[in-house]
Amino acid sequence: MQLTFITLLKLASKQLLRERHTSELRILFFALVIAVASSSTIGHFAERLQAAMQLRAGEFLAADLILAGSEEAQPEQLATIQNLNLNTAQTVQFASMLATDDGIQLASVKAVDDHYPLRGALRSSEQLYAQEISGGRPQPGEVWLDAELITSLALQLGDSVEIGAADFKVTRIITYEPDRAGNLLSFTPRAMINLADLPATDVLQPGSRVRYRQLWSGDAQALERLRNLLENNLLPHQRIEGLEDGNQQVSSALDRAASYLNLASLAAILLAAVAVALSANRFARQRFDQAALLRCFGLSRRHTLWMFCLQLLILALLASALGTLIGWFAQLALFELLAGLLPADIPAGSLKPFATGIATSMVMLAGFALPPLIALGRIAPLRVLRRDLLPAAPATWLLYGSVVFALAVLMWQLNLDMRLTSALLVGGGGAAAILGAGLFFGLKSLRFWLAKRSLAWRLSLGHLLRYPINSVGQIMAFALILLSMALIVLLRSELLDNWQAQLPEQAPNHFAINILPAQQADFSSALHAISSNTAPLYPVILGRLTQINQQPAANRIDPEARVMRTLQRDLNLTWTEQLPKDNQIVAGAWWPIEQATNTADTPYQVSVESDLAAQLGVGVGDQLTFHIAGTDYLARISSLRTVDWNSMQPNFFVIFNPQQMGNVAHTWMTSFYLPQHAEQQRIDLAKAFPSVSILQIDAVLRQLRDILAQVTLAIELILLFVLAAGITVLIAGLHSTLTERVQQGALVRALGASRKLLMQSQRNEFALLGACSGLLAWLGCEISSYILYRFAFNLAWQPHPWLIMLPILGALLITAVGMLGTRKVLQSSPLQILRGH
Amino acid sequence: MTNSILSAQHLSKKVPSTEGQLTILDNVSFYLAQGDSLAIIGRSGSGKSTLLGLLAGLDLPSSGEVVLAGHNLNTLDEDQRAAVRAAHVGFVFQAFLLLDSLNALENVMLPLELAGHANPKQRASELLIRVGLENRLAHPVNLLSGGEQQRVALARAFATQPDVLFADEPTGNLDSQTGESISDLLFEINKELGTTLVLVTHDEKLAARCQQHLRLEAGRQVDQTCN
Repeated sequence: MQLTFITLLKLASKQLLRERHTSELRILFFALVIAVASSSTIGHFAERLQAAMQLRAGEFLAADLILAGSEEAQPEQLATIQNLNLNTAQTVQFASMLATDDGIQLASVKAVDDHYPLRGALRSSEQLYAQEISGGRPQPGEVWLDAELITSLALQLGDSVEIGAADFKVTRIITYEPDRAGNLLSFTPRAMINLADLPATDVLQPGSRVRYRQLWSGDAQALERLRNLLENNLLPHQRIEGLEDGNQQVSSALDRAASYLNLASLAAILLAAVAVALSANRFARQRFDQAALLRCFGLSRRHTLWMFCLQLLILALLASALGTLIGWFAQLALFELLAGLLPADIPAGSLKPFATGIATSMVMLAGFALPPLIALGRIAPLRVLRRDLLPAAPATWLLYGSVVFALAVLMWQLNLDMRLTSALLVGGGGAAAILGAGLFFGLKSLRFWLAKRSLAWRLSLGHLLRYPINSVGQIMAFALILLSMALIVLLRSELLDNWQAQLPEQAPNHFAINILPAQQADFSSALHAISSNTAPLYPVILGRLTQINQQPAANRIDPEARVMRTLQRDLNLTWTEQLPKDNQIVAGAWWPIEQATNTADTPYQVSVESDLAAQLGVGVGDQLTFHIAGTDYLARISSLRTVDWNSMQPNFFVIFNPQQMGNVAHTWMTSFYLPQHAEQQRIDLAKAFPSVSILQIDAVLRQLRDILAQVTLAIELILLFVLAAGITVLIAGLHSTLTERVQQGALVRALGASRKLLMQSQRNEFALLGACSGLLAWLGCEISSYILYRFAFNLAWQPHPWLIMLPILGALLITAVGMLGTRKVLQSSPLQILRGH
Repeated sequence: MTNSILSAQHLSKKVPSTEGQLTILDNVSFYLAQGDSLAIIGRSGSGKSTLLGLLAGLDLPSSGEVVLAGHNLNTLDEDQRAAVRAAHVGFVFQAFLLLDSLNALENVMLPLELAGHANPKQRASELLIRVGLENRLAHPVNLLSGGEQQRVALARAFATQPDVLFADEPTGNLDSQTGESISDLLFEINKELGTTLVLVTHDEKLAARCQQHLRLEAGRQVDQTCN
């Protein structure tokens, strides 16, 4: 019988339409819908949320992407990107003296054009410590100044100051500058002017130290193209700054949230995959007779297989269409629910999650439904006469190969770290094999125990023990469902706790810098009187790293490496006896307090931050030369430290041994917490110590808290989604195994078993199934969480005692769902069930 | 033998078992002309269904050969045998083997659609009316009685006007009265269409309606008679 593809397609569609009421088709359809809906909801939601979060993160840069350089961007560089339809702005930053009739003061001058900032807004006030005004920028002829400059130069608003050859009128006091938040400790106070006034100052001369920044904002795809174009034409002095340079806390929070969302997607997909595998298996088993009949009618093996494959393909397409539609509406509903909490200008999502959703269902079908389907092509036509004939099982390599291939494709599509996820899968697979084998022998050993038990136990366990391999498969599938749900709950708690710990309620929200040595004691006692949380005071010296092991440092470093920036500017150095809180020694040893060495032939000792050391390619014992206040200091690295940059404490790349540095000119700095209502105390402190600069980082902290709250909320919602998907899949999965149980229950009832006995035996069976699944899920969860914490999230791992609840939870859940599914046996006449009505 | 539609020569079937090779069919030979009917009779386990499977090309013999509609089935692979079945063969089974997910009409339409029939619905309806199920066309088959289900199976078997109809205990699942009406119908349509009938049964009364009889005992052909 020669059938064309079109004929086969027509026949398959007709068959599908005719069989649309069958339960196995419905379950398979809904499993696919759940898979696509969850992956596309999470996909849409994560994509839009990520974009929204990036908008917020962009506020710390005042843009989405920046090209920074010591010279202006070349016109030919900018010409290539004119068609990208991006917003653009320009700033120029340099150090210059501000002069008034009464004095001068070094300031960091920033000239901004009329589009700055592209993200976020400047905040300013018209009097010291007065109400903030959001938005605006200096107009030509105006200068906006930091409070510190107003105080130190004794200026009033409306006064005039000179920058280079030009005069400016002071019109506002800057209280918040979005792109300065990322670099809280840029100590030189700010003066901001309009870019149009820059030529008139005549300050910039060839060789001046200037930072030119070209800012862009706009559509993510255009930005990606821009980044590519810039990378291809980057000049040696230039550097591209993205969101990762904005604020370390925000970008690390976003990174973790993105990893979490992707893992949650994978969990949702795995859940649905279990449902697809179970229901496809049922679909295939229910069609053994049909396949044999078709072969009797003369359909070839290949056409028989195609007929069923096409049916599933059509089903998958329909499920994908419905799933992506549900996904789209679900994410709209999610954003609607969160309307008050998320930024108003959330970018619209792309079509990618739609395509991803459809691809997901296809890949899942190929990986998880193909092996049972292949059995349909292998069915012997003789089955029409001998019903006991079962198709030869597909080769093991095909079975596992297709699953592994499907998972690999899904992971690739989710941008998951391949090495990590492979480790997870291989580890998980290995653990599953060992645990599965243990379970198999455990079940077999139950036979001895069973002989002496009541009839209810014998009935329930008899069912599990008759096909131990099948039972192990079922238990593993349910374990995977419980594991996915538990893991997502687990990771959520850890991430949230971690973020909470980063930003405790009373985290320091002010920095005080430029404290003179003579003021140190007074300032410290004044601070302790008003603040409940103050960091220690640290001396600050400015120094530049000039040599590594007595070779010019610049020669040893790749000119394009990020660390070059560290070499090109003064570093804030300090000295201290005690290792600062939140720092940890990772190599070498911290100096003993009593150690005092400062002889001419002994180098100074320094402790260096470990990441910087890695970028510089140095370790304990290497020598660094610092140029400090006109003198070179040769220092030997005695230890490497990790630093918690998120701690809101003064943090330093390089710390000197205190016994050696006491005489170097320095100022002091600290950070402290003041509640919002303590405005007056802050003003009093500033007035009592006019030369001390007090930087408020409340706004930054608020923004950080906002972002973390939003990400937290997103994670909570995704968690709910995964849990809902898990429960649905559990129901679908269990349902696909019920036919045989219902049949057997009816038979036992027909033989005279009471409803009570039947209920008891079913309850025992489901409880045992659930408890075993929970037990496996518990062990699997600990193993996978260990791998994930260690390699994906950099979190410390500890056992989770509450996971011991999983066997109990599994038993309760599966018993409830199972009893609900088999209630038919108890409610309808056994004859009806046995006759298949 | 020139007008033979089905012949078997020295057919044997052996299967491996724990005690070595087990012979379930041993040296069976016969031939059937177009329009003849053959009853294969014997007790349960005598090898009747095995022989039917070999004759229909659902399985291959260990030795001997089957020629169906001019095709030596031994020389064909599984898909080529399927093509022979599609062109020449119809089946009726003891367990009916209707597809529960389809209604009566759709069950009969299925082989017609596979064969690319121009108007499967009309042909299937005519056949269902012919077997007396004009009021049951759209009924789900699992709601039909056993007799009605076997009538649907008959309509399905004759739908493609096969040269040979293989019937495996067609009345085995039915009471005697229903069984009788089904066998009447089977022989009537068989006669109308001139189909060759190969019937497996242990019902002597049903077997008596066939022109030829082949008795099996423990896999061996013990008797072959003609009416």
